[in-house]
Amino acid sequence: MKELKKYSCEECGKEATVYWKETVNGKVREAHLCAECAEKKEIGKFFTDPLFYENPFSAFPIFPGFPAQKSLSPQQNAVCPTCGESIRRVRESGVFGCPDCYRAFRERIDFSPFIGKGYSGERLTGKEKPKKEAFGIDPEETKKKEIERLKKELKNAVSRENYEEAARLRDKIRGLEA
Amino acid sequence: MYWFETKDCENSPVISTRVRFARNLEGKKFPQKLTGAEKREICEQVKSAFADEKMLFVDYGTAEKTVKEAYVQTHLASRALAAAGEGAGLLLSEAGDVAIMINEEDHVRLQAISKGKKIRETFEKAKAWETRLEEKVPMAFEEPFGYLTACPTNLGAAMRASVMIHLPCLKVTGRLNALTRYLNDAGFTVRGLFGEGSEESGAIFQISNQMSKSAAPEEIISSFERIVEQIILEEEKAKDLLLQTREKELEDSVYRAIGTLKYARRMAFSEWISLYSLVRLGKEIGLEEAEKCENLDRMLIEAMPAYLQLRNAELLAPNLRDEYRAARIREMLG
Repeated sequence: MKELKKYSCEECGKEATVYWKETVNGKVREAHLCAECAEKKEIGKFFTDPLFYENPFSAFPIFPGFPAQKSLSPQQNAVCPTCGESIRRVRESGVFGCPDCYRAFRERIDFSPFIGKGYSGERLTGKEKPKKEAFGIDPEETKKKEIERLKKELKNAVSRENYEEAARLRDKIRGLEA
Repeated sequence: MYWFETKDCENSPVISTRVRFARNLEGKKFPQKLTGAEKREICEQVKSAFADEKMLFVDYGTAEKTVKEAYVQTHLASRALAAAGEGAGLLLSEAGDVAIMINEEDHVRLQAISKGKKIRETFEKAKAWETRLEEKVPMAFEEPFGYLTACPTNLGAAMRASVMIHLPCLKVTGRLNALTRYLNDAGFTVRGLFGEGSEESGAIFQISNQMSKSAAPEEIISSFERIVEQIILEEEKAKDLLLQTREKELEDSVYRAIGTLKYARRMAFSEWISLYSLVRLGKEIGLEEAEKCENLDRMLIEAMPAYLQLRNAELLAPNLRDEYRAARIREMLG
């Protein structure tokens, strides 16, 4: 029988028992380590992490809507027109290339595990649908909060005797209150 | 100034509260696809949105390792940002309570952090700062996804709320595992002080919401508030059990811890964190000497190795650091 090549731990020189390889955003890192050093580096921790198996971007391709192990045909492997990212790469890396990828891959990926039936909120600035109060916040309210915040800062500045700063804050508050 | 340098709020096991929004600029590739120059441009755009505010910008392309590590340990930035290097940066508010990570996994990760249990307040603060930014710099948003993020697990509100919480009684009574399972099922994550599987974290945990799916920020924050109350209640129950069965033992441990903190001349961080736990618990159950110990939570953060290092550049050797830590603890505890 062919004997396996022995490696020594790259950290401490003991016999290596762990081979670690990681691909993050296309960058491959690998190392031979002994059990102790591997533990220190928290390698292998994933497997004890209950979330690991739930993570759709874990090493096991359970990305919904994807043929997990099979290679993708050219049609299936769509490419985002804005950034050139392909579905295949997205699947490998777990991250998208740009905001437009979502539009480009919308038909090909089942996003329901991530957003259910769709996001129920609005933009924080409330610009999209200003009437809906659940998510879009009242600009008057924001202004009020901001003035309160500035007033606190002003008090702080005065107590620190930083009058230059205090004057700047006072002007800002006046501007908002006007 | 930093968020932790304020007075302790000791009426709750919650040490600190954080709320974070992930945002990406419209029409720009996500950071991992950008060049250094493109990333720097994004830094400038974000900085300019707060031009009328006194902010500190830390350039992660040039910042020293210790500085980055200190920001990790004081919960102002992530390890991933430290690894991001050129074109990444951290923008800090003057009060050290709002930290904006630029070009980490997303263009912007805006976080507000407060001492103690201030979930609603911290949420409002983060929201106000996010709104200020988004009014000046348009952020990628599209229905039905919500805010668009590099990783789809953050889609939707792209918001994470978390608390750093001290749960010694749940830990000692062995109830934590069951609670963790329950929290995981309910969509929350439980981690050690410095993230997954971190050692030396004593009885301090971080609890945060997982994927928010379709939920709006208000809903997320309400359910987070509820779950934190539940955890506090469970900790109370475990505390009662402990007091009924092991009161003297507990009292003995707390007083020994106070003695050590008062007289030790060298204090490693791992020792400090376990003593911290005991004294804080002693305070909660109303032990007289423990109640006299002030600034525990403040010291918890200030005693972090990298932060001590940052404050005292000459403390390179761990021995010196441990001596300084012991002295600083004696001084702060009063």
